[in-house]
Amino acid sequence: MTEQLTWRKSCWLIFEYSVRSIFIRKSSWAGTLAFAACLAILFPFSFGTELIQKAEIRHGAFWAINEFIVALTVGRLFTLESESGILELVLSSGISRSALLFGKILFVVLYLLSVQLPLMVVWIVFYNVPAASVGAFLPVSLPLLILFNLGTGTIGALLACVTARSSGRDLLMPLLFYPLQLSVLLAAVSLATYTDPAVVMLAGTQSTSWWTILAGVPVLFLALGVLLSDILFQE
Amino acid sequence: MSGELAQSYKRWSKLLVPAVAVQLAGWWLGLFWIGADKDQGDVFRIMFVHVPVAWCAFMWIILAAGFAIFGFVRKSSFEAMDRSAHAAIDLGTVFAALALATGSIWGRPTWGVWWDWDPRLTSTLIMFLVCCAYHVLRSLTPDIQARRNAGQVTAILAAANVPIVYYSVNIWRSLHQPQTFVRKGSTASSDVGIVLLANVIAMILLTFVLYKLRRTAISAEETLDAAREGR
Repeated sequence: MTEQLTWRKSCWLIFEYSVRSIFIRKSSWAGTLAFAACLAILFPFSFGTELIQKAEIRHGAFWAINEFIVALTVGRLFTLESESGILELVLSSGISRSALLFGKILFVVLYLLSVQLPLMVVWIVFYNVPAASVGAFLPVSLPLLILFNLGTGTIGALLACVTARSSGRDLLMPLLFYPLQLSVLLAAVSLATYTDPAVVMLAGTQSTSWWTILAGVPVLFLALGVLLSDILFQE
Repeated sequence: MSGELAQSYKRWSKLLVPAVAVQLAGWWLGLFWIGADKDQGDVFRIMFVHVPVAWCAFMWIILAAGFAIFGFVRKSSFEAMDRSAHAAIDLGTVFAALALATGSIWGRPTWGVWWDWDPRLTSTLIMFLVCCAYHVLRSLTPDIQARRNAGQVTAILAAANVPIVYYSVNIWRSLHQPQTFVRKGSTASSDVGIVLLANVIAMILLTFVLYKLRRTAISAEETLDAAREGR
């Protein structure tokens, strides 16, 4: 049956299935949000409650929390399917591997966004973000979050497949993930900081390079993922 | 098979001495033939080690990705290409570490710090960490086929970082100087360029011999493992 599915339909099927399986129980989503809130409390005590309210530090803290959420999410990307045997079933059904990967990446983007939007409210309240800074950040926040999620989600999904058969998966995922996605994090933090009117901009600071990186990383890793999808997913 | 490997190892071992001699001659030129730099003094001489080492790191990581891609395209040579990529990443890791160390030694007297979160330095560190992760991934993946697949994909991912490292000095103007020799209107004197080029060639020759030795050692290791496991 699935052999007759077009690539787009297969992709949508995987996306829809992943969304349903996560949001029906909601416990996983609520757990991730609670974890993000815990981190939001942790940072002021690590850096000092006064220092965390500085514009540069509070933006860094927001994206650092996002980092941990992404690592947690992509680390468990195929866990549900692997444990229930659904992944083997999907692979043996002949569904396009690249559609499977792309569907999962789309799911990661949506899932992360669903956690990040309430987290942003928590961040604004807990870190006493001034109204002027919120006003400046909000217009760019959505494209910034989507591109950040797409970049980190793509790298994470690729690595989740690479490390799937390794005995030290828990160690390997962060070991590979954090260095590879650093450019995305750097771009997101820089762009968010540039928007803040409380930050004194240095002469010659340009945001175009950061936008290029933020858009280029997902394209590069998505192309690699599609090209290598048959190798990444093996029965 | 094991006899062939032993012979190959002996053959390449013999070439190691002349390769080291050529490299030492290159360093001698850099140390004693070239005059001191008017701004940096004698400190700049570490360039004749640092630049070739860094270029070799890039070269071997890119070659590893090339081997991996070739292995995926031509299935019949997948196993051989995996061994080649493994040996190349080994060299890439060592030379990335050396590039970081020599850069740090250069940075201390010129910038006043051992380390700065400069884009070139940071991206090189990332490249080194991904190479380290490649080794951890291989050693923690018990199934040979899964190990080969994961290793090859990681080799490609490691190479994806090389252009970022290379162009980082152009994209983000920071502490690290922009490319000195490849850009138009370079201010470096021609004798410095010639000695640097000689050192780069010498280092490539040396790393090629090291690559062949490591490649042979990996083949021997895998042959031994296969014999032990009865594959």
